[in-house]
Amino acid sequence: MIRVGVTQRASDLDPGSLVNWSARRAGSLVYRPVVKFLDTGTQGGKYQFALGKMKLSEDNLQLTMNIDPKIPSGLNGYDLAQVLTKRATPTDPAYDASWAAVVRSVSTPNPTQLLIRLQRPHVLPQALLQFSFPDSKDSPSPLAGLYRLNTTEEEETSFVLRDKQSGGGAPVEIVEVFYEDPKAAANDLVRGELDVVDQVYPTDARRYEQSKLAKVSSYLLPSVHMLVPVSEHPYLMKDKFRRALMYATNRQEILRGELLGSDNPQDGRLLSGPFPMGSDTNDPLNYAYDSSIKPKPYEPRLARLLIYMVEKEVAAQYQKLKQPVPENTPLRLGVPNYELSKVAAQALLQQWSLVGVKAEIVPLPEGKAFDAESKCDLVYLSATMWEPAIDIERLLGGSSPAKSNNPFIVQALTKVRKARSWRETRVALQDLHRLVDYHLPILPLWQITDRFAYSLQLHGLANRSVTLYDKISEWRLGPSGVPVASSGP
Amino acid sequence: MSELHYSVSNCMRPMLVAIKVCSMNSSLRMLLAIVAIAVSTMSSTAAQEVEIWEYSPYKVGVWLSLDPSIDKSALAQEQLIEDLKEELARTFGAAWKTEFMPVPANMQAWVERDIPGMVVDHFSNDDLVMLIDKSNEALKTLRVFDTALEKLDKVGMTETDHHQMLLDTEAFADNELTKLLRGKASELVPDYLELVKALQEKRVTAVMVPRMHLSMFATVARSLATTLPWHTERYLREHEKLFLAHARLENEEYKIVVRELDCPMRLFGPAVTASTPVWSSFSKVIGGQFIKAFAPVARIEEANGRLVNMLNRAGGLADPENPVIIKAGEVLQPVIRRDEKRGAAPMLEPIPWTYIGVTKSSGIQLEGTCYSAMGNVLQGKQTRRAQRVALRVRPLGEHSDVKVVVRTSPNETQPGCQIYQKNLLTDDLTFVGHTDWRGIITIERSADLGLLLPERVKIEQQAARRAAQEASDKAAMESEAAKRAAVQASSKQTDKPAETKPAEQKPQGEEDSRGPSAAPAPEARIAESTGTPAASLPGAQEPLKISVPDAIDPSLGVPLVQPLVLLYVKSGDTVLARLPLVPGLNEVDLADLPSDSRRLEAEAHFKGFQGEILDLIAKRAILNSRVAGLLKEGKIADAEALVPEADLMRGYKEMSDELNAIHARMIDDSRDPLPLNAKTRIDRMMITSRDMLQKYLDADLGRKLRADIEAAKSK
Repeated sequence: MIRVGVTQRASDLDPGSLVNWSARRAGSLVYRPVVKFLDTGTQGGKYQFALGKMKLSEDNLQLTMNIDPKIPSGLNGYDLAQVLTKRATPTDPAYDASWAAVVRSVSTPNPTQLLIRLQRPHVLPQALLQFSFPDSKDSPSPLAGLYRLNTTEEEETSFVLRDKQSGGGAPVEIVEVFYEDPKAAANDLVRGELDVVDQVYPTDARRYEQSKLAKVSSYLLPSVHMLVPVSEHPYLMKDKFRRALMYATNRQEILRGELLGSDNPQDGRLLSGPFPMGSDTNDPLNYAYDSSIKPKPYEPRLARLLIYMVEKEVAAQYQKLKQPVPENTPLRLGVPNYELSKVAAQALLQQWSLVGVKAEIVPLPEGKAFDAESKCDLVYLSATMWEPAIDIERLLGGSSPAKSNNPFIVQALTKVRKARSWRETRVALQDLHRLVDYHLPILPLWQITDRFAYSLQLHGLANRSVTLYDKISEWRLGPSGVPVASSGP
Repeated sequence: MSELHYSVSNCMRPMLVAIKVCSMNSSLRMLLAIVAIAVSTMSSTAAQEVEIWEYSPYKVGVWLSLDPSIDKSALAQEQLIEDLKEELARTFGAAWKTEFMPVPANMQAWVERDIPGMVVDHFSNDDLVMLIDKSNEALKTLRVFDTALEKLDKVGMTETDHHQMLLDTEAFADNELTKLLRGKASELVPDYLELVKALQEKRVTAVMVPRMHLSMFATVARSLATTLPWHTERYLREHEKLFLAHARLENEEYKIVVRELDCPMRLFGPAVTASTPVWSSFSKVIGGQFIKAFAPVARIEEANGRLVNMLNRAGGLADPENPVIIKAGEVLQPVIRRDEKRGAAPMLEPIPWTYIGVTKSSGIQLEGTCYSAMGNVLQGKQTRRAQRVALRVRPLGEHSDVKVVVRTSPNETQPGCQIYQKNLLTDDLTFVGHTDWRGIITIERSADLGLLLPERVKIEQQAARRAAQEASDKAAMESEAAKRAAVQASSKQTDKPAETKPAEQKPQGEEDSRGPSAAPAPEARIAESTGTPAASLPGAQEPLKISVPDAIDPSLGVPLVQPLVLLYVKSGDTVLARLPLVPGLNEVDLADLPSDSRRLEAEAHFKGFQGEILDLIAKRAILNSRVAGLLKEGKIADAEALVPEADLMRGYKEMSDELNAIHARMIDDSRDPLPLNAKTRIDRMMITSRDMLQKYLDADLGRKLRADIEAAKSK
């Protein structure tokens, strides 16, 4: 049994989730996505088809998926074709607008092959297939992961191997232990009561390393943090007001002082858009990021002036409509229930109060990244924008809770979708970055390099994994000093 | 217009009309009834010359096909038809003159298999049309079928068509035209290719071919409008409404499909269906579907702006509960029919995106408000050859998809258009949503259909507002004149020159009385120092630039009994279209609008850049204000310390270069052609942005601050 300390409890299981850390983490134990992101590459990410191999044609107009009958699954080509067709049918509950906008037809020349013809050339259609099949009451998922959910208690969630015979020596049971205080998790890891802590608070990472009682490793790719307006707050709907919030926030100070405890850009850096910057200019992850767009500086006086202008503007607008002028009610900031977001949110509120913007924190339900009950005006979001060409549509388009209604953004997303080559994709994404900076459909904050820590007795963890359980089948408990079984790039 | 279109029935009985008149109240109705009685008692020839629309019954034809699957005897089936006739007579009374007819042989298959899929062309596909050799100079003057047939020596036909023609004309053997055609159709060939060849080789100068094969002859012959007594299309000429119905037994249920064809307007309505397991109630069920499928018609008498006056067809022959009566709150779809000379096919124009909401109905006279995306489409005179009518809509669905596409390229959709719905009573706009990646937005049929403000009320309110405004202006002018007179009189008394004060200036005392608490906030001072009121600064957005009326009394509204919504399609700050829609009427309503993508893209960039200009203006104003404040307090060193901040700010040239770069990118024709109107608008955005730069950023702030500091030092 492996005990994993987590600060975000999983209430959903979705290995392909863009914005829900815990759903992605625990989901990867229980389900296999049809297509899995493995790593960044020179031309977009590298992906793996769960049932075999796939290939995009030279003209980017056809994706061929070959199913290897030796790979165990409950799906054949016909089943998968039917699912892919349903996902492109607007009236179907499984409808995915992003997928529907790309696919022209799905055919199955034989049970082991799918030919997906595209409406127009697309650089990464496979990235739109990062979905999984949940277990149903009657039958397990046809693309099940190694584990199944066993028990869920107040503080612990247990996952056990679905098939102990074919586990190949993988840990029989994974228990995720929930900690509200990351320091308590750190102490338990050092004391040996935990084997892994999935997300280490950046300032704690150095303590772990210094203690020599645990190892710390970075996840392969950083997470991008932002605030997403989700309500029709009459002031927040104004570009000027959102700019004022940006100018009122000393993001560099929050990042350095409150979150990272360091100035090292490898730990985290400010962003001016929704895409990650990567670690440097050569990082293939930053293909969407226009580095000529600088993050908005801290200008509290300007913020105050813009807020004053917005108040006048709103008053004039409602007077013209002969309606009562709405009150500038305190902003309700939805915050996921984990330490880093709570600390960041507190700091944001404190700085906004200095320019007269009242706000309050609304804790989001456990394991949820969004506000299903529409109690919030803004939501603090941490997203894994590892494939900007696709993920931006998943974030701001389709049926995402962060869906932007801004016509400029909707048009820019269409341009991204219609891009036929990597060159066009890059231009469209950088254009979108510019528009996000102008109109702020989301308020970009920073990117953070997330880390996990594990005990010296635990071996086999990938050195730099995309998600925690990437190499779970290779995890072994044993005496310290045994070398790590596999290491990442 | 053909005399068959909605013409008066010459068999109208005086007694019937007299009975109807008894139930009418208005003197106008009485007058019309008297006229109707007079007309109906005149000789039949005279009656045909005078048409009284509202006192003429609909001429209704019914093709009822009973499927062999129906497990009832012939007698029972006959009884069903008799019961249905009685049912229709009870429902529609004198307002319908109904004729049950056997389904023509060439239409039988359509009626039995696919009533919902039928189109008007099916009626005339098999009808023979005369074609004349294009190259024959001698025949160039021939324009009328009857004359052509007389003049021609012989006419070519395929053997099959000839055989069919002989069968079809059996019932019309005494008709002169029939005799003539039978006699002259002597050049018979095995197929159409041979017929084309016969024309090319001048073996024949004219041929008769079914309408569906006309395209084969397009290069060698021209067609003449051909009307023959046995043509299937005659059903459309002889009736105003033709009902196609097919009954069958399926899964132990009797099922019926009914569809109405409005003959003069050549418009099919939706197919309605129903079923019952009980044979004895089947006739009632079928009758019910006739009511659902039926679209009563109103003739548009006058359209003045959006106000439309109409007359209800057969309205004078029906009680208020009769389905032919169009009621207030119902929705009509206008159609224009233009008849061409020499009997050529009529031009039918169901006006897209146009509906009339009926706001008042007396049973005969109707008043409505026209909502159209096309402007005042109904204005203009009714002529003999241009007939404007409106049919009641029959929405059967729960929603409609509005699909916005590019006008010049219908395969290109317009995603991301903002859709607002306007309240038809209050004019309030509500945001509905955006078109998705397919350019589609689904508009649901609301349970609460809402209220419709009659156009007449709106006109009266506008007139009242104008009068009130004029009165107020007049009073203000009189008051101003009186004040001036008083000032002049007073100045004469004091022997001082008169000082006229502008009317908009506040009295001196009012400003003094504000006290310290009324002093503007620092932000207000800075905002004002930029020279523009906050609400008019660039980036100020409003939902839609429309005038806001006074509150409307809901009792003035007419409750809609059919769905009608008015949608605004907006792209960025531009309203692309105003689309009236009946949700549930059509599955998809296609709105082909000019592409706005290039202009929208430019708006996104210019507006964003204007935001940056504004922020820069504000930062400069703040810095200027801070330095001024420090100088006022004598803190010259502190003021000097701030000056480098001005040097770090972007200046006019930098901003101007960026603006030029944006403009160049936005008007770049190499990506795709830029529409001229889009270029004009983009240039306008450029000018606005440049004006902002020139007005507020031209001065060198650093130099100005240094000068201020030097001035303060020298004091």
